[in-house]
Order: sequence, then C-alpha cells, then structure tokens
Amino acid sequence: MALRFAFSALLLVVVLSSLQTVSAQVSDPGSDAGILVCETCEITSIAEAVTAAEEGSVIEVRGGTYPGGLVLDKAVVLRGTDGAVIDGQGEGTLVAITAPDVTLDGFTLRGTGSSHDKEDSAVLVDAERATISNNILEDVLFGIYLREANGSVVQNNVVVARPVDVALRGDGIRIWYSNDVVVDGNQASDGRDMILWYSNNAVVTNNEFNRNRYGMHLMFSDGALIEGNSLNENTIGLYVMYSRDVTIRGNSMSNNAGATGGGLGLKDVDNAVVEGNRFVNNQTGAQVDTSPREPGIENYFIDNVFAFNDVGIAIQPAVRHNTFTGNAFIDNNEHVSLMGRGELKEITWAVDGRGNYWSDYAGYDADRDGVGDLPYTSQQLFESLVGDYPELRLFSYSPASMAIDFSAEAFPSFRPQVKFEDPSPLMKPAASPLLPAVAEEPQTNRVAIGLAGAVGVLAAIAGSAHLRRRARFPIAPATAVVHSGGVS
Amino acid sequence: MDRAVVAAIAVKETRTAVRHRWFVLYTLIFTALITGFAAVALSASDLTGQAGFGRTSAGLLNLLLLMVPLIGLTTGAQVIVGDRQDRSLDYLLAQPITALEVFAGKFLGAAASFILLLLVGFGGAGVVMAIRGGAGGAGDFLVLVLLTLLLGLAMLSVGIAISSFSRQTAAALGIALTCWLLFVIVGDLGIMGSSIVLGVSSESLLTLTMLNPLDVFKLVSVDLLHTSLDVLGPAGIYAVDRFGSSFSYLMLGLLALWIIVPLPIGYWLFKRTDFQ
Repeated sequence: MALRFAFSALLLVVVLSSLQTVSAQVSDPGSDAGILVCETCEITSIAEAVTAAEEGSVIEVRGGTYPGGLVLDKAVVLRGTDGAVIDGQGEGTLVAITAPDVTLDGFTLRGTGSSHDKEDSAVLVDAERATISNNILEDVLFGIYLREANGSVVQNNVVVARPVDVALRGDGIRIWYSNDVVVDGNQASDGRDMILWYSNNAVVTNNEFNRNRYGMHLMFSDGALIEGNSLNENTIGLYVMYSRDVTIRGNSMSNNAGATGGGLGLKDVDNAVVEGNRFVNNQTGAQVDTSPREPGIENYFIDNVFAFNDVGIAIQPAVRHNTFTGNAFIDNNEHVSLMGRGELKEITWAVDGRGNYWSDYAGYDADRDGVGDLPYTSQQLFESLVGDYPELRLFSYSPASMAIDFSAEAFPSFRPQVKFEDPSPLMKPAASPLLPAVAEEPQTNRVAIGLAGAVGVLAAIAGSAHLRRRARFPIAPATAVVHSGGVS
Repeated sequence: MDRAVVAAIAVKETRTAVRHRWFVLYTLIFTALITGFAAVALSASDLTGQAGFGRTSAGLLNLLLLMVPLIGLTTGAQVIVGDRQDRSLDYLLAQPITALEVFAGKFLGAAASFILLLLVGFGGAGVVMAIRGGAGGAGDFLVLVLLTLLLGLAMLSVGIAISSFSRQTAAALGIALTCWLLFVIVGDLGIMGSSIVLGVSSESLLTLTMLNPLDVFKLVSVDLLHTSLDVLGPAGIYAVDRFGSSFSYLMLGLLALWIIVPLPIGYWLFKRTDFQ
C-alpha cells in the first residue's frame, strides 16, 4: 500500500512538473516584443497579424469580435485578452493550426459550421506540440480536434456543445493519431463523445465529461493514464477498447444509464489497472469483455466502490485473469453478474488474505482481523434465474424474489451453482485515498426535512392522543346517537 | 347524503381505530422498521458519495410491499364486520341515516387513521435521514411517501370491500390475509413460473403484472425514483418504448382505480348483506 501511494505521489509530481514547463513556455513572451490586435489598433485583423508575425511571435488580441476561418501556419502564441471572441457565424472551422508549437489561449470561440463531413471544429490541429488553453467554446459542432498532433496540451478549456439531438452533435474533444497528449482540467459536457483513438501515452486528468453519449471513448490507445475525471450521467462513462497498459484511477463514474449503459467498459484491454474509482447508481458499474485478451496478463480492479448499481460488475463467461481486491460492493441490485450461461473461472477475489467488501455478507469475524472467517459466496437463486431468463428482472425489488432466495436457503436442493467465492471478505469497506471527493449536500435541505419530519411525528402523536380521549359532548345533534351507540 | 353525518361517523371511526391496540402495534412496528432501514441504508453514504434517499429507497420498496398491504388489508377488513359482529351496526343503521352515509363515513375514518399511521412512520424516517445527512433526496422521499399512501388506500379499499360482506371478523381477516399472500407472493410467483414454462413475451409479462396493484406500485416507484425502468430488464425497456413518459401516469391511474373500484362493490355487498 505504502509503495503504491509513493508511486502515485511520484507520478503526480512528474505530471505537475511537466504541466509547469508547459505553462512556463506559454508565459514566456520570447524575444519578440509582441503584436497587438484590437478594434482601434494599427492591426485590426488576426489574419493580418499572423501574416506579419515571425516564428515565435506573440500576438495579443485585446477585446473585440473577429471572424473565423483562421489558419495558424507559424509557431506563434495567439493570446486573447479582455474577452476576445472569434465568431465563425455558423461557417466552417474557426481556427486551423498547421504549424508545430502554436499556442492558442484565452479566447471565446463560437459558431462553427455544422458539417459532419468536413468535421467543422472550433480548433483543428494538424501539427505537433500545440497548446490549447483557457478557451471557452460555445455553439460548436466539434470542439478541440487534435488530428495528428503529437505532444499537444489541451488544458482548462470549456466546451459547450450545440443543443441539438445527440446524434447530430459533434465531439467536445477529439484526439486522433496524436501520441503523448495531455488533456487536463477541461469541461466538455452535453456533447456527443470525448474520443481518444490511435493515440498512445495520453494523460487525461481532472476533466469533466458529463451528460454526453460516451463520457470518454478510448480505442487503440496504449499507455493511457486516466485520473481524477468526472464521467457522470453519460450513456457510458468510459469505454476502453483494444488498448494496453491503461491506468484508470480516482475517477467518478456515476449515474450512467441506458439499456446498455454503464460506468466503465473494458473490451480487449490488456494490463489494465482500475483503482480507487467510484461507480455509483449506474446501469452496470463495470463491464468486462474479453479482457485481458493475451495470455499471461492480469487485469486489476483495486479499492473501487461499486454502490447502488443495478449490476456492480458484469463479466462475460469467457473472461479470465482478472483480480478484484479491496473493492466495496454496496447494495448493488446484483454485485457480480455473469452475462450468459457459463462459469466464472480464473478470477481472483482475494490477494494475500485481502478480499472485497460485500454489503450482503452474512458471516462473522471471530478473530477480529477485519477479514470474515467464512468465505463470501454468491449463489442467489433469483439472480441465477434472471441470468437464464432476463425478462424475470421485472420482478426485482419484490417480496416474491426474496421468497425465491429464501426458499433456496431453506431447501438446499434448490440452491444454484456457486457463481464465485471470495475467500477473505472484508468486514468494512476500504476507503482508498484515491477516491474522488464527495460533494457536500446543502444544509438547508437537511434542516427542512428534519423539521418537517419532527413536526409530522409530534402532530401525529398529539392528534392520536387527542382522538384516544373519550368524546365529552356530541359534535352535532344527529351524531349524539352515533357516539353513544358506537363506543367500544 | 348529509355531510355532517358522514363527518361524524368518520370521526367516530378514526377514534375507534386509533384506540385499537392493533393500531398502536402496527404504528410501532412500521415506524421501527422504516426508521431502522433509513438509518442502516445511510450508513455507507460517506463512501459512496450518494447519501440521497433516492437510490436507497429502492431497497425500502421490499419492506413497504410487505408491510403496507398487510396493514391496509387487515385494518380495512375489520372496519364494518367488527360493528356487525357486536351488533352496534344494527343500532347505527336503525338511525335516520342512509347506508351510503355509514359506508362513506367508515371508509373516510379508516383512511384517516391509516394515513396517520403511515405518516408517523415516514416522519420518523425523515428525522433519521436529516440527522444522518441523507436529505439530498428529499423530493424522492416525498414521492415515495405519496405513492405509499396511494398503495395503502388501495389496500384499505380492498379490505373494506372484504369486510362489507363478512359475517365474522375472523373470516374477514382470513380472506384479507389470503388476498395479501396472493398480491405479495403467489401472484408474482405464478407469473414467473408460467413465463419460464410457457415463454411469455415481455409484453404479456408486463400486462400480467399490471393486474397486481403491488406490482403497479413497484413499477411506478422504480420509474419515478430511478431515472429509468431499464433496471427491470427487457420488460422494463419494453414499457419505456411502448408508453414513454406517460407510463407513470398510467400506473398512477391504475393505482387510483384500485382505490375507487372496490368501494362501489363494497357498498353493494354491504347493502346486500345488511338490508335483506
């Protein structure tokens, strides 16, 4: 544990220092004194300033609104101040970057075209080492599109997608054939997907990708680090396909719903480490499908929280070589679901005598070492029926389903095959320091409901006490008879 | 129908119900169970980050589905038959009031005492949630309370219909408990069994379950408290596709029918039994 913590700390230092170098580069004005663009300046057009600039020039755009269709074909720093806006009026791409080492910082970019064929974007990067930072993107089809842009940095941008049907939206951030990129502190919500394809060694940290279709979709991208992101209320929080050496840590993947929706999906992923994430209230917390795909490789799920999901973890019967340890499974409708008929084989549920926490564990811990003395076994008859007849899921949350489980407990001959066994279940859920912070709930709400409840109880008690007294006099002449007749 | 007479009979009925030992017992049990559940359900909230009642209330459904119909059916079943058995009903009906006034007053009085019982229980749960910091889902909690009241009233109506033709309290209670068993377990098990053996389609499965007021309550609760019915598998997804957002209104309508329909039947049975 200490070693892992030290390693995370080291990694954090490396990431932070690399970000610092980047920002140092940004703030360095260079030898050039800089070119100023504003509505009353000598130069009133950004395009003109770019033509006039030399390699390494700093162009400051102070206030005003400027047309789109810009091409940055030199290594310049283009910085917007005083609320500078680039407005494409609904036509084409706003800023195309075709030379390496360009910085675009501090602008409001709005009004791209709406062609999916031409991939109209706010910022389209076809060159290496671009830095796109502190921009606000509004009413755009695609937001920031790195098309072949190794070593680029996308930091602290806000992308607000065009409010159209999800299939007609573009991707807030799209990364395509671009290795070694850093995507940090961005917000890209209410769009289509966040895409990271064919791009190795990406670092994706502290972003918010909420209410999209795919919060984040990784494909053919090895060596990614995905840490501290918020991937909530999407159809799928994070889906990783055909990738290797992926580290997924300290993310929040909650409230992702839909018939096939879920927090995390791993398909054909080798050497994945999923650690300290929070999966709450998803259709499926995590789905594992042919991962790992190569022999001799193990994937790890460590210290995650799976709570209130319909299914905590869904595993395909063909999946082998996954290790689950230190995870907390709390009140999922079904903690672990086997998708289809078959058996869970070669899945490790405990390492060095440390298993997982299961909220429905019914064993005891006589030696008080924090580990249950009896193994946790999953053999719920209703769950196994639902595995075979999915339409019976209609009867979840009903006393009938409890009755079925109870009958299997009482009559062993009904008991289904054991789905899996955790030999060392934890008595308490482990709280990993990696887990994302929890938002505080508003205090006023709490006081209001408390008062309402207390007043309700008191009123009810007072009311019953009043009613329990004998009536002293009739309410109306006609009722006097009723009272004398009815007292029991 | 004289409103003053109905009100007088209703107040008298509420008084009788509240004085009943069953009422005290049911209130204590219901409050203890629901408050305890709220306390336990919230204990893991700091780890999951969702202290709200919304998701945990799903687990509460099971408890409500067992308790509320049991209380509603058995209290309803004792309303008229009790008076009939101790002969006070003959005396009451000999007064210059109509049978409809008596029946309406009895129902309203029993409903008032039953609602009081449920609100005490939910009030206790509300206090616990506020103390433990689970008020994030206050809206969801209120929805659940209102739905439970509807379910309770539906069961009470059925109970009163049972009591209006029974000659003896014991018989009425027997019928009420049989109904409870049918609604709670036997009905669902029967549908499950036949769907496994006969391979019933999602559509017919959903339609069959809609006949059971408890399943209707569960469906509408899941629909309103979860974001979607997907958690109920293929049949749930079918419901979303077929009915869309009008599904909850349909279910609420069905619940309302279960409150309204047993009453005229009960009244007819009551008149037939006591006015021959």
